[in-house]
Amino acid sequence: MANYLDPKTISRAEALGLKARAVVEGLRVGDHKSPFRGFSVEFVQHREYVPGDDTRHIDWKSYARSERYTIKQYEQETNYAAHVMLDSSLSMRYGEGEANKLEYAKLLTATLAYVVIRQRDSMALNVFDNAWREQLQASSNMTQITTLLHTLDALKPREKTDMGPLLEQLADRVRRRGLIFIISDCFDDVESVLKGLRHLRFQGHDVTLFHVMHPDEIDFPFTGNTKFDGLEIPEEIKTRPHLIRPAYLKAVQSYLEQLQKGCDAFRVDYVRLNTTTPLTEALTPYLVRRLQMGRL
Amino acid sequence: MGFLASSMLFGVAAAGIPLALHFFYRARYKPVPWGAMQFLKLAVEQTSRRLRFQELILLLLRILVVALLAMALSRPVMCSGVTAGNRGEAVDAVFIIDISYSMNAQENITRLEMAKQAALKVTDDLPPNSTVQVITTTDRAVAAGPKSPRNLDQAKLLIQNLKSTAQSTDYLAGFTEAVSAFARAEGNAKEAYLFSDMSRGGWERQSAAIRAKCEELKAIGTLYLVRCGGQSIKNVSILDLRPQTDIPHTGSRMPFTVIVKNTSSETVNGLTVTLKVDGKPLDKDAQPIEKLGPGETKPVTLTGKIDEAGWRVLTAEVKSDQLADDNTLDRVILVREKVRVLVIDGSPNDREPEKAGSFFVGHALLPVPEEYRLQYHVRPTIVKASDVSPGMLADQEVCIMLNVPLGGAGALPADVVQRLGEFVREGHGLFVSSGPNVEKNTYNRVLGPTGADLLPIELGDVYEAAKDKPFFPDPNSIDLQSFLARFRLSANDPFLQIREAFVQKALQTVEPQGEQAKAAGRVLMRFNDGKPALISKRVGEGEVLFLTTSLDKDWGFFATNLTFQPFIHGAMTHLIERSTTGYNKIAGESIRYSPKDATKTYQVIRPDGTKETLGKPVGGANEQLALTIPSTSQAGIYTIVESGAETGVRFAVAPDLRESETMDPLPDSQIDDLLGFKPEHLNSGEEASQKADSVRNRNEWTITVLLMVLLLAGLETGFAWFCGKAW
Repeated sequence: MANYLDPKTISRAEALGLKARAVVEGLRVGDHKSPFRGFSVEFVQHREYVPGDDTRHIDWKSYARSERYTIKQYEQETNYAAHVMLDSSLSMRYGEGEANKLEYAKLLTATLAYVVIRQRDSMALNVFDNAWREQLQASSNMTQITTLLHTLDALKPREKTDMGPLLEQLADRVRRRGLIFIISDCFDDVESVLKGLRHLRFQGHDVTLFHVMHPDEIDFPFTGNTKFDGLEIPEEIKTRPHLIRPAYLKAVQSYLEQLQKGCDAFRVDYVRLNTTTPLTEALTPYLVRRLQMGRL
Repeated sequence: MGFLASSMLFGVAAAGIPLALHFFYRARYKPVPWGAMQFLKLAVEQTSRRLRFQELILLLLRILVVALLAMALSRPVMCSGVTAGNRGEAVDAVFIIDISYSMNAQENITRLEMAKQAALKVTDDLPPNSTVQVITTTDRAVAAGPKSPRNLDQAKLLIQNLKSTAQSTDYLAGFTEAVSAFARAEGNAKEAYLFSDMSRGGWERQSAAIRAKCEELKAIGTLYLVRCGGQSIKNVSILDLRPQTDIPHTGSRMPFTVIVKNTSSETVNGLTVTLKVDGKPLDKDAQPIEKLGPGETKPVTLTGKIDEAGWRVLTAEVKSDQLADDNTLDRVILVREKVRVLVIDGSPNDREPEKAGSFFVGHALLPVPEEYRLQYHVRPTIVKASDVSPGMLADQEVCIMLNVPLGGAGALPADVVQRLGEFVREGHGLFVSSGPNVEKNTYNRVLGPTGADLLPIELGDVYEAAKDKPFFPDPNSIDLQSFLARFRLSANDPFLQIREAFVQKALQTVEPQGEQAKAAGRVLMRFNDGKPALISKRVGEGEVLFLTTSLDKDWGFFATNLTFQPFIHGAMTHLIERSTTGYNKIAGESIRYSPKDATKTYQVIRPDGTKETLGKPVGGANEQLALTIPSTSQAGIYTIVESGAETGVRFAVAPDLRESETMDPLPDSQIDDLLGFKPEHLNSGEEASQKADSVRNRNEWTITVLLMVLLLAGLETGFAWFCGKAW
């Protein structure tokens, strides 16, 4: 079984903690603030008593001062469910060794899972290409990590990406708002992807898109006569890449801009990951940012 | 356009290399599995048309660069097809140096010296590693050397030692040898230089062949014509020297005619013509000519008494002009004590002898009173045709047939006809006159090509003049090279009175045309109506003269004319002189001598006094012994002697006088017209070398093409960079 748990990455992630940017609805009391104000430890505000409220929550001290019945409201810290959507389409096969996109994505998935479960939050895994391939139910049990790692290890890329409909399916399926981590190279119809993201956001999920790209796909550094064999489509293109590089870069840039703009518009956290950048380095800014946002 | 290294043109095939590489690399792609096909497809869609166009342009540029490079390596030259040396590259030079005697014309220096200096200068200025082959040319060419064409010092020495000859110019021989020399040369850059005075005769003698040969030269090299000299020179030449009217004999004063011609375009004044026998002056040995106009020919008569019979050398000289080589003419003559002539009369008349042709001929041959006839050197024997036997021809020098029938009663016996053929071929003369007994069919059959082959021309019918308009010999029709020349050249008679030798009847002849004319006889004189009067034909070593009219009074008054006596004596002298033909040669001809002793070794003493061993005569058994001197380039007396002896048999070699007649230089423009293209015309001296160098620079396009290659290569690089550049 491959080692997808890089100790260095995990230790740094643990130190920083994984904080949700927004209020997360949790099943259990955890580190995360719940949008459901209630009767927990951390006071938030008073409100007028209305018939039906539990009289145990009446703030008698306040009544003594103002002779008005008020109820104390507390911000409830909850556990959340994190859903990782991992793209295992054929295009994720690109790259050698550690720079292989799928391997990089698996490492990222494992890291996220470890961090989430160590925080006593639950973690679900959804592997997809143009359909769901593997699905692990959310669980905060540490055995989930072992199951997840086995699942990742057995994962083989196949088929073409078709992410948009699957995102919508996920949005429909996961009713409780939570964290959605999408790990993909997003070689898909950008409109469809954005539509799915919008749907997720509409459901109130905190969505993060980890856009995994190999540097070759960004810089297109090829020279000489090259035959590009499509990984996802049975097509080959023979060309001299240095001659078409400008046009390629332009097309990629346009696509990335469009994707990023869409993410920004739907308040989807967009994180572009370069597979040659060590995951620790690539993930740290994201986690720092999330922590800062979580403390606001 | 031509190419110096045409084999390199195969390199043009290398233009296929870019094409092959193009397809080769198109077929060799590095496979890359790729996920982001959507962007790639978009990029390819946007750029493929432009890329294809750029690829095509680049491919064309590369093909062009390779093709032009191959072209540059094959060294293209001017469109004239001239193949030349170029910019410091080794040259295979062939020098054709005219050594005809016109090159001895004295300007400041002789033209030959100018040619030598020009040739030496060109040699000195040839690029390193060049070769030189020297060809001397007259009417024949000799590859003079050097043995190793790379040895320029040897070539220069050879050039410096060149001597002129007495031969005439015919550039064809030189150009032909130059083509062969070019074939021997191994380099690419070939240059042929003709150093000559460009005499007209040299160009025009065989102009068509010269044109063809120069085309050949032009196709493989550059032809430079280096004009040496060109000033108009005063020149007088001695065209001929011969006994005037008589057969050379001892005992009486003899006139000799020296024909002098001014071959230049200027009048020559104050000439003196002298004549010597065996190097000793005659009694009256000098004759002045005050003035000789341009082109004017003048016979000069010099007389003298020769006391001793045998082979004698006559030498005529004229002085005071700029070309000495044709100022002296030697002739070997046979001086006789007696000359025997057999006169065969076909219509003798015993009762009225004055009506027979033999009457007039006999008197003409013996123009002395009765009492002196026994002392006279001509001894005619007159016989009837039917009485002649073959033995009568023994000891005779000439035979004269007068109105002799060859068939029927009184005809000449057949064995005599056969003997006559042998008689002529041995070197004797035959004079045949016409008359009523000369029947055309019989003559054509018996003496024509199918018979004894003595007849100079095919005979036709008898034709007759109107009674009041008889024919007469036209002096203007007389062949100047013939013994009759004096009848034409005499400004004041008596010889011009030949125009009064009226003729009523004559035989028509069938003058052949074209190739057949060459084998037929030569018309020496015509009647005023243009029909042949006297025809000559060389047969073996001898000669036949045929007169188309009779020498009696039946057909006219030819024999009664005052000029008949000099006419018949001239004819006899001419026919007898045929026997000296072997002893009188023209420069360039070979000398053949038949000694009697096969055991002895012989030498030749040349005109310049040098001796050369000829060895022993070849032949014997059934063949005649023979010694041959193959080369007689110098004019003068060649003496064949037994080894160690100082005296022997003398042969006179005259300069080839065609040169004097046609030595005026041909202008460049006319040479161009004659050749059909413009060769490089140079003048001797510094200019020759400089201009040759500039021609070398001008001809080759290699540098230009290389520059084009460089430019295109730069263009290709720039364009390739531009195409590969991101924009």
